[in-house]
Amino acid sequence: MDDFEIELKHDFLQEARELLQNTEQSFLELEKDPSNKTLIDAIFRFAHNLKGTSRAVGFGQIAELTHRAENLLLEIKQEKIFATDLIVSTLLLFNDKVREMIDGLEENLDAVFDCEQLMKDLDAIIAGEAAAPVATPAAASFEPEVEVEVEAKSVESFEEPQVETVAQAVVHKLPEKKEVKKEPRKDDETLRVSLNRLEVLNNLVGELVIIQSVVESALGKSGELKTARSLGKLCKDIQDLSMSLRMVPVGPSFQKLARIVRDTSKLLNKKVDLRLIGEDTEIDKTVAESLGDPLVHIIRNAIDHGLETPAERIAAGKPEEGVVEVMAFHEGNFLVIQITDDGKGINGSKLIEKARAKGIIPDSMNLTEQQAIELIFHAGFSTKEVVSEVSGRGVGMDVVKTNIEQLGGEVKVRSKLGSGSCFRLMLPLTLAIIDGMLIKAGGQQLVVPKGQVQEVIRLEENMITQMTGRRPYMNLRNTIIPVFYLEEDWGSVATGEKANIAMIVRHNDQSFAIGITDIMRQQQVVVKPPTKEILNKQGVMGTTILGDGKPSLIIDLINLYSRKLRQEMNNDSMVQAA
Amino acid sequence: MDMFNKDKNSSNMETKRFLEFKLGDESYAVGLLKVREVITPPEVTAIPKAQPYVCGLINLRGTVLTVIDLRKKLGIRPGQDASQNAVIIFDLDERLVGVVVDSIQKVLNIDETKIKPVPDSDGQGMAHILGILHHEEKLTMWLDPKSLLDGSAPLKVAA
Amino acid sequence: MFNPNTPVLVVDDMSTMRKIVAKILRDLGFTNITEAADGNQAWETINKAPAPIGLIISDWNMPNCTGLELLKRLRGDKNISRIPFILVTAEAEQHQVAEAVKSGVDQYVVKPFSKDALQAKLEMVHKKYAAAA
Repeated sequence: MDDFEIELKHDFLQEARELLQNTEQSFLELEKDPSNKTLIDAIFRFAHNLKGTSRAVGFGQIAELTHRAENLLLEIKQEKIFATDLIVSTLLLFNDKVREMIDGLEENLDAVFDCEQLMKDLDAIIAGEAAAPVATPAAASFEPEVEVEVEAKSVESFEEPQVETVAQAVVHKLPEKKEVKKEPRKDDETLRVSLNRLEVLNNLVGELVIIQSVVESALGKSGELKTARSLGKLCKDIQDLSMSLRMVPVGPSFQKLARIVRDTSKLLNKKVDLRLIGEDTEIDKTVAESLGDPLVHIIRNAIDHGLETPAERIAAGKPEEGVVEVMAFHEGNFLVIQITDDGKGINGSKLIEKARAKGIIPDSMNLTEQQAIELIFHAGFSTKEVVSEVSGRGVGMDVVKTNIEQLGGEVKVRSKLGSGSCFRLMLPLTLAIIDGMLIKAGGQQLVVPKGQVQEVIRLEENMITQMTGRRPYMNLRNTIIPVFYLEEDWGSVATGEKANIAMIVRHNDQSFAIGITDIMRQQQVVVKPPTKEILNKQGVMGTTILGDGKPSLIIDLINLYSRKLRQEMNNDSMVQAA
Repeated sequence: MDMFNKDKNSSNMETKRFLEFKLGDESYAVGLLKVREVITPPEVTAIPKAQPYVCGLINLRGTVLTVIDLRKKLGIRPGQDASQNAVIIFDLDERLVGVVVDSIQKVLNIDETKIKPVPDSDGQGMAHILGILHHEEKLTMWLDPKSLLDGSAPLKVAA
Repeated sequence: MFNPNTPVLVVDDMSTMRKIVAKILRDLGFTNITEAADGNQAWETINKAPAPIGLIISDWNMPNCTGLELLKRLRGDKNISRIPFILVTAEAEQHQVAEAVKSGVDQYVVKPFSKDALQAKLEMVHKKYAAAA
């Protein structure tokens, strides 16, 4: 293979990947609207292009397989064959197969694949024998890793010496990263820029804004305030723009859901109308990438546990087809994604029963309806008696909650028995900027995330109860909460200054007060990574640069104090036990 | 960078370039390519409860980095005159670290034959000395900033 | 044979295919190659190109405006002097070639094609135009 040929092959793989992104969607639409001529034309052209180009660059197997699919699509295009569900299923399998081949070829341009069965299936349909596909698409999509691995191994063992087969088997065991490894290349109007370079740009622009404010105060004295202000406006615009470069639409994360819904509903024999709203809503790229798995999980749950079977729905006086709506919109500095279903809702009393049986809550504990519903976020909680094939794979809603919280977001649930449930994910628009509170403690200026602070109260000496050798506590509206002093952990000097103010932080139903000297102001700050020297210090979320150009630490109060509290409670119980 | 390249191409390839500086009364040197820039000591933001040799954080054109007092880390008594103090910004594979030194001496061009290995001693902490530079009848220790700044244990260099 | 400086327009909705065709053309000595992703883009290029396009090699099946539609548009425009037009087809379209010939196509090649195959077609087209001139 000469260099040009290798380059061409890689070009093709990238272009094909880009084409494939839209085709799955098209196949799903075809299923709903089997005689849509424009759609069929577009799909046919996709197969046609894929075949022609793959052959031209020397990927014979893709050409072979795609040729079969093209023939079938031509029949559909010429209205000789009607695109039934079964046919669309086979075409979806074809779509999966091509994607698998592209992944494989990207790692090894000489990779060989097993597509015999699929080619036979396609041929059979054309020949008028409606043979059922061997693997149902639903099953295939739930555990694609395993299938890919087995097939790839079995074929390669014919082609490659043993040693290499082992190496390749290892490679095939790392399927997750493939999905994100290569973004489809966009048309000429867009440009791929590394996130690193964007970060450098953001750093420089942040610095520009600071220097501008210095210039503004200097120029103001010489009567050139107007010029300085227009410079300031310009700088702010540039900053907004450079921040926005990290933003991408949530659309691609949503698109995956259509396939999940199709396969899950087929497997469970339920009818689902998936409605996607707000696909253009933008979010930070890093956040968007971590959004896929939680969304898929919630959707599967909604179909499996939420929606009833068609018979049950009719009996309940509902339309046969269930509705799952996924809606994205901005709310302040958050992206909100709401997943609503019109199913049977979450049965709180059943959850309580279950939680008691599992010893998650004591028998004596009374829960409100809402508290009961929120039990589904509890670790190790699966609502179905038998772990279902669809949602119950050991991954519970608690994992969803943890994932979202790690992104600085939160998950809420509302549910009404008989009418459905709504999950609300709130995610920060960007990980790069947070709303912060600039505070003072122990002679040190620090930033804390505003979102962690529930309320701020003025501390009076007599509010706090001190006990020798124990954590001081205070009474906040009839609840006893522990009191910490930020100075002890993050003051630079023991100033002996009074803690005049307490920030109330709440985590997992536990509130605590954190005493500080003063609150300076609230401001948005750009989060920068901690330097290596402070990386392992407890409670450091990152660093930032304040308006005057000085660096400051961002302290993660929840991380710092929930851990501390747990340690102290453990020590206490040990003391008591002894 | 252009200047480096020109020098590299025109001069003898067996010459290495170093930045010589003083810690207390002693001369040390580092490979010039590891040095991003040299700045006058800026105001630092203290890091509470950090190791004593960590001076704090600074903002270098939008990048937050740590400044370290190498003298404290190596147990060297600082010189009397602080007016010549400088901070060397090291570029250590993807991360920047600032180091306070007593003063910057000069750039050294050292023939490779004048770079001697470290005498095999049982003294601890010689790991971050890459060699000894012989020049103008002086001896200068060639430090490896990466092993010095990536390691966390305080080390002793001074004899 | 065509002058190597002749501006050539390669039309295909697959960028990989454009790259292949452009490479073959460069191997054949052509130096001035422009690309377009569909018939509409090609039409714009033809009307805006600084030097008049002297040869078009176009794919057939493209979104928005197909190769055949582009050909018909070209041949229907009296202001544009006849530009040599080679249509690239896949075997599935061969039965439609008659329509292309009727619409004034000069030659067609079936993809994937070799350098020699394209050269042969180019020579035939060139001869035809040289004789007409």
